[in-house]
Amino acid sequence: MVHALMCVGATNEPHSAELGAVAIAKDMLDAFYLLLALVFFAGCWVFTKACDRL
Amino acid sequence: MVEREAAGLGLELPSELVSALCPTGSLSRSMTPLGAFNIAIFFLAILALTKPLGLYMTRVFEGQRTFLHPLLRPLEKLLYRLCGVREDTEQRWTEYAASLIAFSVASFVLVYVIQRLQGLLPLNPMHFGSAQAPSNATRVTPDLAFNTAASFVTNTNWQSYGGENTFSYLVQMAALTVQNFASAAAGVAASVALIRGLARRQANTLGCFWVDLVRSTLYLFLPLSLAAALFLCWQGVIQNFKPYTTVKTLEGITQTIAQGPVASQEAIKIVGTNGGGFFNTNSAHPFENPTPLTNFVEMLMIFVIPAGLTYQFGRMVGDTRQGWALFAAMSVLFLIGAFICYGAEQSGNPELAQLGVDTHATALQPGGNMEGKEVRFGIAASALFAVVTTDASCGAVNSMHDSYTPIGGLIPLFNMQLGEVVFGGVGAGLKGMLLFAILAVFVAGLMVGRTPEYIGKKIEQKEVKLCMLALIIMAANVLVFTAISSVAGFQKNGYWNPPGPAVANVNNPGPHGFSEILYAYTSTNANNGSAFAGLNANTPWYNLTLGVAILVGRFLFIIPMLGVAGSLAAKKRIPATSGTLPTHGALFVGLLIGTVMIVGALTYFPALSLGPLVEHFLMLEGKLFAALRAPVWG
Repeated sequence: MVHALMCVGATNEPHSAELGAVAIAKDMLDAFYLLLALVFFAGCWVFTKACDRL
Repeated sequence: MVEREAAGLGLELPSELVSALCPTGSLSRSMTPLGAFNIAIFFLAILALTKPLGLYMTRVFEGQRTFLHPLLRPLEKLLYRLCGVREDTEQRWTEYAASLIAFSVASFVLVYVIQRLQGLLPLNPMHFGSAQAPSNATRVTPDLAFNTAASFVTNTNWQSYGGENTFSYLVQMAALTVQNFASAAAGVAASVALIRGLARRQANTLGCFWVDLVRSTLYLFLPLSLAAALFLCWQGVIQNFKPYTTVKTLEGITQTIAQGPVASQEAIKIVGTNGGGFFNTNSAHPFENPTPLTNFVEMLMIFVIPAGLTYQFGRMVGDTRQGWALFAAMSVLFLIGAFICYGAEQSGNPELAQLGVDTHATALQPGGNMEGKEVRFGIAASALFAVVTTDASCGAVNSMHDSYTPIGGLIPLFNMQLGEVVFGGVGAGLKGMLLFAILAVFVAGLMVGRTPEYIGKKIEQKEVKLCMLALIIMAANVLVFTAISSVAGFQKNGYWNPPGPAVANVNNPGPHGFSEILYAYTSTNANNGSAFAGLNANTPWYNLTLGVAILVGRFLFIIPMLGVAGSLAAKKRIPATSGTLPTHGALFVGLLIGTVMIVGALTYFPALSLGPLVEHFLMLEGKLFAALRAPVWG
């Protein structure tokens, strides 16, 4: 979704420079940071279970 | 007039009182009587508000009727119905933690997406996030969006950006201000769960996270922030949706004056101990904090809920003396910090005095170290604000901590390293102080060879392990990231840190530069969010690592403490005997303060020695660490 919006110049980066491979790389950055956060929160649940078993 | 302003209250004191308190030209170099009076009157105001607010909060969280029920109870019921929450449902501590995590995941994703798509969304008169944005606007890159989402979801409000040239009004309101309410309410909820853990006997549950979240938002934060916003508007804080105003100055230069819905964000920023400013300069900006009176009230609003929580704790465990004991320990630590910081700032830099500059406070000048401080607040009200904001997990600033003397800057840093247990943020401080209380009775138990007890609950292996786990994670989070950033090398103009090595982002060389890095990780770990300044943190490396430090500092502290609550709730209460250490007397207060100081000192003394301590001694030797260049922000 973010990539699609970037391509119409809707997000923060000037769209003309963001097309093609650069835009895909930026998309992957969004995925990277979102995934990182989700992995962290999943880790929090594992940590909760570990604390419960302590 | 200057002396009156120096009191920081905006009060018109009788001239006889002013001259009696501050005879012209004879003021002490390290402290003025009016400055000390300012700190004392602030503390007395907090003392006066603690019991009434604590009583009110007890009623709210025990589901009893309050004076706001006729107005808010129907709304509360409606919210439960809409969200499918059963008010009488109780959760085990793991379910309580899972609800907190789930709520945070949803909040994180929402804040992230709103930031990244701000160019498409309304209420954006400056066109941030689009090709028509001003040329000096900060781009919201994925790493900045990650950092900001982590920051606001966790009540940290660390800002690697300047608000007025980065985010639209919609982002400031729908993403950031909403999280100011939600994250503060989640913090209070977790604290109330911990109190229930100590108060309940042989119970498996700690209450319901969703009910606690709704109640703290509706009955606590909404009314207080509404009152605070109206007060701030009255004092001159702006609240509008206008595009920024462009004016010509008297010198003929064009200046852009940022506008926006500031009062509403400012109010919850303070009440919820969030601290994220609408403007880059935070509460130093005259549109956020225009008068000495707003400054005093903002400080009061930062402390009032955390202070009230101590009384609430005493009420809920059935012995208000327990709450007052925590309040006393917090007060002692607060007053020590406030007077040391104020004394250091009023003393100023001896190098200036040696150059012949008069650094004494007189009727015509505040003296001391005024660098980075607002003239309308003066030294005492600035130093007090710095101490208050770092005792609590607020992080709002009305002066630039980077410009403080080494000892003046050390106090805010050390306050955060102690875990912000001195009143603390909304909920965070009480959790931290209860952790230290458990450790204190454990240490006392070791000394006399008895199983430690706290509030009639035996403190056993599991509770101590969980407390130590929380402490070790917090210390490692600060020290490991600081150490890595002090040595990490990056390719210049590369992705991770365009300026080059991580130390290239600091503004000052030597120990002061190290303090800038240490302060950043300390602030984020403690979910404080105040910036020492002097560190250009808007690069992928710092956004990522500071963001991770924020998440670790929030969740890997709350989860073990909820575990402690769950474990204690299941225990029966045992009657006090002659061998029980009383936890409501002066002895325990002293033991608690000692535990806090010793644990803090042992953990962070080496790092502080490399930063503000060595800088102080070098300053006395005549060596200063001036800025390498003008600060560059994002």
